[in-house]
Amino acid sequence: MDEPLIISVSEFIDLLNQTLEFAYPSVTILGELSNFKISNNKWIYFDLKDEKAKVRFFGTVYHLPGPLEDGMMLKVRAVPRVHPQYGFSLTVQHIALSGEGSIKQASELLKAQLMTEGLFAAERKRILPYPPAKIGLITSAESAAYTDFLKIINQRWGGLEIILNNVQVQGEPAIDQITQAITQFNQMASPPDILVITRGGGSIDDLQIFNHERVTRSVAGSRIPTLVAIGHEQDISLAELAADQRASTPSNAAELLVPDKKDIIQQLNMTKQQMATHLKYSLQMLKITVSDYKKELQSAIMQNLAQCQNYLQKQSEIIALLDPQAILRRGYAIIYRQKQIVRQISELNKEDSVDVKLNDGSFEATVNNVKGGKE
Amino acid sequence: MANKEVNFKELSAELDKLLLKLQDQNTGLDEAITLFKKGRAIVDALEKYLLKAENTIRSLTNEKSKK
Repeated sequence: MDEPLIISVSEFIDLLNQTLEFAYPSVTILGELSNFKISNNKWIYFDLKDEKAKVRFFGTVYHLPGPLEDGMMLKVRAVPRVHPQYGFSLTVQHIALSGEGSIKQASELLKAQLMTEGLFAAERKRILPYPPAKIGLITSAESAAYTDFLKIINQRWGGLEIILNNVQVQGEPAIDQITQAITQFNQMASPPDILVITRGGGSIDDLQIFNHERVTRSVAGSRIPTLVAIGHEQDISLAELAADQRASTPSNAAELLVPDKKDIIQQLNMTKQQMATHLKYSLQMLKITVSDYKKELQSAIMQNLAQCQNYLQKQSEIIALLDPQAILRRGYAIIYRQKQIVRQISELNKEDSVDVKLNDGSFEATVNNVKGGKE
Repeated sequence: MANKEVNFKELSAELDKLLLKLQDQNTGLDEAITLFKKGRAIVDALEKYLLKAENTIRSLTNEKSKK
């Protein structure tokens, strides 16, 4: 008869762990989170439970998809093992939220946390260059979002430099790819003027990566201004909240980034028309000014001439008034004695011969008597 | 003046001064006639300038409408 195998407790634990490792190198368990605890900001402890049972998990904070709360449904990939001191537990490899309710709940928790940190604050938002010359585009080259974005942006503007960083836009790998793409663009020697992170609509699971803490922090931390456009309208993702601007769809992102060249051409034509109208008006005003100058010149020279004529007229009148002939016509006479005009009575003596000139002739006369003068 | 590029503003200013002098009652007729001749020459230069400007505007706006 065989002897029963007798082993120590430690050997038994080792044997059990080897068996577990062989049978279940990794197992994914779905269950409701309970007794969730974080220790020293590094270690996490929690249970997953269903109606009949519960199991204990152990891991690090780096495995957390974001803030968690008891009651959430989680899908946890882990390695089962028996600890020599603490017994059976599962060592966490990956944690994913499960179910719309849990995803929303986690997203709300993270949102509240990031909001407290000020990641979504309006004062952090930068004005996007309009239009940008160089765009860093982070999306999947095979997506409709990529095609739509390029189609609309080229229809509206064109001539832009668009550098694509082809990434997955859903699933776990997308988180690393998107954050790396943001970092790569930010590290470029000649970085783009703006980063556009976009994808089309999808289920809440598909869009979940845009609520991921790392993606959200990466968007918020970008030195290059960001525009995040996720094709859904109902819920705004955290990455969109952290971006400098959000757009509802990839096409909407293209519309926000550049003006429509048709509008610009129309505006330019209007400006040209306004300029021509303004020029014509100015010209008309100047023509009136020159015409007024002409009139003023004419008026001034005519006034000067009239002034001269007026002066001449007055002088003529004065001359006419002083004309001796005019005085004679009024009945006065000029008396000459020995061809000299007699101005005073003292120049005359009795019996002098004088010539008396009247308006229309003269006569000779003899002085009979002299009166006045020296008296 | 013929060699100099016509400057509407400068010529207008010169014309303003000339008019003031011409309108001065102390300005003699001989001087007034000289000023008048000079004033007319400036006005002619301004009219030519405006004609040239008008043709330029017309050709520009016609070009625009052709396009």
